[in-house]
Amino acid sequence: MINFAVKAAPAETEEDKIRKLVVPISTAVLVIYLVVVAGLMGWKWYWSDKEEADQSSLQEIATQVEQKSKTEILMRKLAARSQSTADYINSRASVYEAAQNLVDDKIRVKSWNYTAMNTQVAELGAEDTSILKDFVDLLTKKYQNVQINQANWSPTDGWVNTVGLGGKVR
Amino acid sequence: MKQAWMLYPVAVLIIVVFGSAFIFGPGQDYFVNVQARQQKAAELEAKKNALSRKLDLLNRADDVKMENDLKTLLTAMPAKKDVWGLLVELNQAASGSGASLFSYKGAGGNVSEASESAVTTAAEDDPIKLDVTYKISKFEDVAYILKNLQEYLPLNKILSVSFEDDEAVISIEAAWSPWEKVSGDVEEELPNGYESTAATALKQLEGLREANINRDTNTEVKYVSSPF
Repeated sequence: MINFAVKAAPAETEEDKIRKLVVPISTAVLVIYLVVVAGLMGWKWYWSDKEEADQSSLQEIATQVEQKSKTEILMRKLAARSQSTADYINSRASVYEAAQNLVDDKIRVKSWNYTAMNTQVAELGAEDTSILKDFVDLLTKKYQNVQINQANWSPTDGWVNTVGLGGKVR
Repeated sequence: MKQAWMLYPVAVLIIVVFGSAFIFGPGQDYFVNVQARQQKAAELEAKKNALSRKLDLLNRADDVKMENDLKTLLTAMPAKKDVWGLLVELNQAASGSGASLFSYKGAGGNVSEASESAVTTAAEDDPIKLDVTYKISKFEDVAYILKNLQEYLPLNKILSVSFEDDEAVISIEAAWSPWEKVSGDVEEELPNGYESTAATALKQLEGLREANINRDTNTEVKYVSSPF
């Protein structure tokens, strides 16, 4: 015979209630803990791996750069020599231009003292003072400072002016 | 055993406490460690990028062109003191005019080529300076000589000119620049803008020329005093 009477469940004790609460909480804590630890370990592993990969990649590129050392040396030599050449050229004064400024059919240059980048003094002679005046006027258009230091006349040299020239050639 | 389930939360507690202590506890410095690795990785990344750029530049460089450019620049700015080159220039500068080289005096110094690794002293780096006397028939000859000297390679620099009556004394310096020691450090950056610097220098050399005369057949010049 079948007994259809409902069997009464055993009464839930206090301990059962605590167990039902503590076990899931413990599981949750464990899962969260494992996830966090796994994440942190993974994070550390990622950076370690990246460091190794970068190190290896760096080494590989460095080797390739070393293989190009001939080109690098050539480049450095070229850079240094280009710079020294350009600097040297820029440091030169145009002395020829300064001399050429004094060349004139009607003017006789008796003496000329030139110091690069500095003032120059020229003794200029001509048959007539007006020629000298015109020439000195011309020089004022080429130099910032033009100064007549002396004006002499002698039967042998004729009219001679000692002219100081300064400043850059315009 | 009825209370066996209690082992489970206790075990979890032990795992969490001791596990955390093992990972984050004293002496472990997890975060310091990770931070250091991050910094190292960032440094390596930066180095890698710099080296990649360097390699890219090196791969794109034209060795043949650079060699030719360097050769031209060496003609203008020799790596050793070229006393004889200067003397050729001085001889040649007056030819074709009414002027003639009369004498020169000065100091040449050590004319051997310094190796790239050699350390040169200040005295060895001194430029070659000569005081040259030309016999001049007219002032135009001075301008003519100066023009030629200014256009010659190797480069030179006129320091001063003193002209009076029939004589001009030109103080001249010959250009030279010893090789610079090239660093073997693979991480050292390449010179910045070397192409434009080279192009500028080469452009400035345009129109200048080498002074060439046969030194053996030049018998007109009278050397009054030796510079050495």
